[in-house]
Parts: sequence; C-alpha cells; structure tokens
Amino acid sequence: MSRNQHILEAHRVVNNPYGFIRAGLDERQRYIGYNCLFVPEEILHAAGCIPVRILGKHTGMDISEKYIPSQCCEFVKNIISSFDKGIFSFLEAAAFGFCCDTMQVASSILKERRLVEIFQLNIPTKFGGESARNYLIKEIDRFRKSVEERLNITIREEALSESTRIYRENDRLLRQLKDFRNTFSESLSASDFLAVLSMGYFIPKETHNAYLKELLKVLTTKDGDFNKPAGSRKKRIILSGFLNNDIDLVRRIENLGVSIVDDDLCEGSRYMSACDESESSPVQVVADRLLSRYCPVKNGFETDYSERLISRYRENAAQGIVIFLYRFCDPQYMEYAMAKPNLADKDIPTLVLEPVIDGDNFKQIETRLEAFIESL
Amino acid sequence: MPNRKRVPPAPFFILNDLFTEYYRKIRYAKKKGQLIAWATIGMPKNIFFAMDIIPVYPQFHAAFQSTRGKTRHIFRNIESKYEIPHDICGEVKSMMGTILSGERLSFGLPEPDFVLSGNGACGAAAKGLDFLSRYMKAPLFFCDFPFVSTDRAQEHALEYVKTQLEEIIASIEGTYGVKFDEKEYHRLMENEYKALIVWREILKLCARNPAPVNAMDLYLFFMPFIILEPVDDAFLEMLIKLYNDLFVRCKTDGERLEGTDRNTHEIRLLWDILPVYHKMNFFMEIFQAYNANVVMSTYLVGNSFYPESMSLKFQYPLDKRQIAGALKNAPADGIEKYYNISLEQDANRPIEQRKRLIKKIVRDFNIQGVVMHMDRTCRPMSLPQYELMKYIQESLNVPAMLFHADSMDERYFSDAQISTRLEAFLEGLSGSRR
Repeated sequence: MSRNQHILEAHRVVNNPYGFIRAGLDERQRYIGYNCLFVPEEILHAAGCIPVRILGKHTGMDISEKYIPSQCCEFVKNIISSFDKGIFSFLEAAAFGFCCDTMQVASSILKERRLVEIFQLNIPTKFGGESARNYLIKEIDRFRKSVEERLNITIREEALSESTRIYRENDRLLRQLKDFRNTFSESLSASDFLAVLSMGYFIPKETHNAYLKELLKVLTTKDGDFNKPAGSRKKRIILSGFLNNDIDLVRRIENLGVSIVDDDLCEGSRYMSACDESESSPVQVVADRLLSRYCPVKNGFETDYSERLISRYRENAAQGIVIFLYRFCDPQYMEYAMAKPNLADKDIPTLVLEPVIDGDNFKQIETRLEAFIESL
Repeated sequence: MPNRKRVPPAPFFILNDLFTEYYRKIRYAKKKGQLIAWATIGMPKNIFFAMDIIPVYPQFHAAFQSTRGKTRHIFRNIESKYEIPHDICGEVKSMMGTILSGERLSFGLPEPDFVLSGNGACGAAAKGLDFLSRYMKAPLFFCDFPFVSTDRAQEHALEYVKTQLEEIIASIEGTYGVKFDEKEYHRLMENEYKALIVWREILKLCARNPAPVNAMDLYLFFMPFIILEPVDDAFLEMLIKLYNDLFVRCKTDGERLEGTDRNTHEIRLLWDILPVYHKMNFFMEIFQAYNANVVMSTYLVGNSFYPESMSLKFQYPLDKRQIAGALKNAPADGIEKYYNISLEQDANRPIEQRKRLIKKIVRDFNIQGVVMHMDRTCRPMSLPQYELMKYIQESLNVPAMLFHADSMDERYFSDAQISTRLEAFLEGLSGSRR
C-alpha cells in the first residue's frame, strides 16, 4: 500500500469508528468500551476482548437530559446519549475509570439504568510516590477480578504479560511516528497523525502495530516523495485539551493556513506512555504505563500544566497554543486558569475554544482562530 | 391548621460566640507564631489541630459570605479578569475571587503558611486551593481520597489515605518543626465523638411529629463538626443546650397538639443537599406559610452522621455525665469506626448509596415530600438528582420537586419561578392530605 492509501485507511476508521466496528463485527469477539486513557486496556486485551475507546460523536440529537441535568460536560452527556441510542450496542460492557467527579456520576447512571454493564476503576489523583502506585496496583487487581468474574474467564499471567508486550510495542511505534513527524512535519499533517494514532482505539492492537510498522516503512523509505523537513512559512501552533477525536476540526484548522506542529490532546499524544522495559510483574507494568501518562485533571498536582505546554512550545518553536475545553469541565478550566498567568508572563499567546460534539460551531471557532493566527 | 411560628433554636447565641472565638483565634494565631493552613472541607482537621496548626476552611467562609450577600461583585471580577467561566463551583469562585480581586478577606483571615487540599468533597475545591497555593506561593499538601463504591471504604483505599496523611504529617513536621501529638489527637477525636452522639440524638428528635425545629436552622450547628477544634467542652455544651431546647419544644408541642389529627400537624419535608445560602429567609417564609417543615436534610446526616438506632435512654435535662455514660456503653468499635469514617467522604459515593440514605430518611422521619435543590455549585451532588428524583417518586412513592439554583451565586436564582413552583408543590401536598 502507498503512503496515501495507509493514511486514507486510518481516516476511514476514525471518521465513523463505531460504524466501522459494527460493519466488521465478529459475533465471536467480545468488545469492551473504555472511557479514559487511564483504563488498563491490557487487562481487557488479556481477557480476549477488543478494548474500544468511548469518544463523543454526533448522535443526531442530545437526549441525555432524560438522565442528567444540563450543567454537565458535553462529553459525558454524549456518552449517555450514545448508550441510550444504542450506538454502543456492540459493547458487552464498558470500563469506567474515574477521571473526574462527573465521569463517576455518569458511570453510576449508566449502571443504575442498566444501559450497559459497567466495570469501575479508581484512578489516583496524585501520581507521585509509592502510595499512589501501590493503590493503583491494587485497584488494577480488583478491576482484573471483576472482569474475570463478569466474563467468567481467568486472565492468565502469561496472557497479561503478552498483552503488556503488545501495548509497549504500540507505544514504541507511536513514538517513532511522532519522531518522524517532528522532523518532517510537512509530510504528515496533524490530522493525519491523529487519525493514525487514534485508529488504534478502534481496532485490535496487533492490527494497529502491524499497520504502524508498514506505515513507518513507507514513510521512511529513502525514495518516498513526500518527506519534506519542517520549514514552511506557515504559523506554528500547538493544540492542547480534548477534542473527542474530531479529526475534521483539526483538518479545518490546518486549512486556515497554520501548521499544527505538536499536540497535547487527550486522544492524541497524551495517550503515548513512557514506559521502559522492566522486570516488574505484568500488573506493575500496566500501572507504570498508566502513571506515565498526563492529564491535568489527574496529575496536575505534580506536573505543572503550564510548564508542560511551555516545554512543548519551545521544543517545537511554536508561536501559539490553542486549548480546547468543554464547558462545565471544572478541573480543566481550573488548570487553564492556573497555567494562563505563567504563559502570559512568558509572552506565549493562548486561545481557549469550546468545541461542541453534537453540532458544529466551526464558524464561531473559525473567526476567533483567524484573528488569533493573524495576531501571531 | 396548627401553625407554629419559626423560632430559631435558643443556643444560636452560643454558636455565634463559638464562631466569633474561632475567627478571633485564627486572627491572632500568627502573632502567637501558630501555623495557619487553608484546607478543603473534608481534610481531617483533628490531625492538624493535634500538630498545633489551625486549619482554616475558605469554603466555609465562602458560604458565610454568600449568606451575607457579599459574593456577587467577587464573581464578576474573577470571571472577567481570569477567564474563569461563570458556571464552575461558586464556593471555588468565591474563595479564589476574594484573593484575586485584591480584597482582603473579611474578619481579617490571615494568609496561610501552607495549604491542605483533598478531593474528598470534590475535585473542584481541590483545584481551587491548588490555584490559591500557587497564587499565594504557599506550599501545597494534597491528599487523594478515592471514590467509595461499597458501603464502607475498602481496606486498600483506607490504607492509601492513611499512608498519604502519614506522609503529609512527616513532611509538615520536617519542614515546620511542629510535632504530631498522638495523645491529643485521640482526645480530640473522643471529644468529637461525644458531640456526634448528641448530634445524632438531636437529629432523632426531628423524627418526632411535629419536628421541634426546621432543619434549615440546623445547618449552622453542623458547621463546627467541619471546622472547629473540639478542644474543650464549649461545642458539646452548646449541643447539649440545643438538645434540651428541642426536647422541651417536643414536649410543649405534644401537649399543645394533644388530641388533634397528627396528619394535620405539618407537611414534613426532606431537603436534598445544600441550602441556598443567600435565600434562607425566602424559603423559610414559604414553608411557614404552608405549615411545612424541613425536618431533615441529606447533607446533615450524610453517611457518617446518621442517627442509627442506638438506644441511649437520655433523661431530660441532658448533661455531660449522661454522655460520658453513653460513651462508656457505646459499641466498642464505635470510635474506631469513626476514625475510618472521618477518612471517607460523603460526596465520593455512588447513586445507589444515596438512594439507600434517602430511603432510610423517608422511612425514619416520616417524609411526605422531597425538595431537591439542584445546586449548580456542586456537580458531584447535583448531577445524579434526576435519577434520585425518579427513584423517590417511582420507588418510594413520595412526591418530589426539583429546582435549579446555586447555593452561592445569586444570579442563578429566580424568586418568581421558584416560589411559584414551591407553592404549587406545597399546595399539592396539603391537598393530598385533606
């Protein structure tokens, strides 16, 4: 397959991920959804299931207010709406990591209304120190037992070990792809990169690994026509926050004539773990992978969001940062409020935008973005 | 219909003195070289009192400010200057706004030496204090309280919280040269447990028909559990006086209403979650007009303060001797359980447990209607309310009404809309009893 065919394949998956899964549904295969990047996918994988990331998508009309009031973040409302409408009917269960207060309520509602079978997992809110690690390991063990009980299976240690190997390989390949993009940002647009990365949320990890290997081979071939080092005159920006994998929105931003040189998105680069080879037990490896990830809601107490953004801004010689936040997401807004003075002190331009899931407010976003880009 | 005029409980003046003393103490603490820590509600205060540190709770102060109608201009200021959206928690906006707007806190609250933050009550308050710690350059000590999905916190969750608190204690000892006095800590916990015994008895009195007090008047009496140091008997004495006052009221009401139909005494209501601090009188007047009484609130009993059936056989007038006796006869693991309970948090619980709590209250307090305040300020408590309302109406077969407001922010309150709905609800309840 050519480079373009590879990229198109990724877009084909992520444009309508749940439609894609339904179209190729294997009756013998078990699919388990998960809501957040801190859910240990390896446990689900070792249980013989395909973990599918639950992201907000157009559902036609939000009907979540049957269950939850309007002062709730759009992502959670969309999840509830989607389950009610049967969009996730192919899922045997959903694993909910408690990434915030609202998500905890959402999982409770889904469970109470029996919209889906729920596995719950506590994720510590501070990642530093042994106590948090020990707690997470015990929670993963508890999660593993609940999966075993509900699915009536036993997750063997060797199977879990193999799953951690596959997931670490995925991390390694994604990092290679990111390194490639850092050098040749003109050759792989941000929307293409995000599509390639996030297709892994919806297909078996082994398939994604094979795909990534092939793509990297094609991209790094010496006679590849497309590899151009970064260096265009386009304004360089970074995206941060959460976009619910709205690749189309990223593409439309790129069409405004900017180069998105890096991302700090929940569904993007934040997914990549930094976990070295270790002699630890498989559950410890799973815990360490999760603890190496970043989310301002979770480990914002240890990792300064502004410093994280500043280092990315400098490494990529960026000119501005665009942050996407959903309304009613208190913790992310608070992190932004904390980061803003530091970013302003360092003359780093920032723009906060509020996307919508069940609709399209791009015209509003576009006007603000155009003004922002012009000011850079 | 026998309608009793609202009379606030007699020991209000003692409570007032306690708070005045609390503010005086923290104002002069710095001069005495005592450490001040700003803390989120839910951080176990007695640990820090036992280190000779005074934990100050800005959330409580924010609520107090709202009662006095002092928050509106603070909100406008913070929202416009710091890109903080209007729809985040009002307590957080208020405590941040007071600092960011450059206004000194009223009552001369001193700035903190450090900040104690925990996410047990909610994630937003923890983020708010994190913000303030950075802004005021005061070191932050954070404790993570995990979600409790079972009846009581699981062992590994309690272990996690205990380990973190031990780490925080060691770190504060190392940095500030103070010492954790374990004996003092146990003394404080025992004092608080005594107060809890009386509090539960007070709540039990509210199960009588008619209830001796409107539970909205009890919120302030509950606050010392959250913020005050149970160092001496002042708090306990106040609760004893409150108990005796309410006991007499029960007796007088009983005599007054003897021979009348008990169904006509009052409309017995349950209030779900926080009051609307800035509109207390508004609600009280409507309740009084319809001879309705909020006999209990989910916030006041929570999971830790529920008056479980413990027959203490107190005699009027209650005194400290009887409480000492009750403590002796209390279940052996009572106080040990209370140690663990103090590490668990009510907001950190699934809907299922809140349903169970409401079911118990409806049964034990003979509730005829539930008023649910969907508080924009408190997302973890308000987001499950549609589910709770469905449960109350369909499974418990009790009428319920829900209104949107904000316990802190006056801008989200519509007098006309809410009074119309509440009056219609109360009208319906009185009609159904006729």
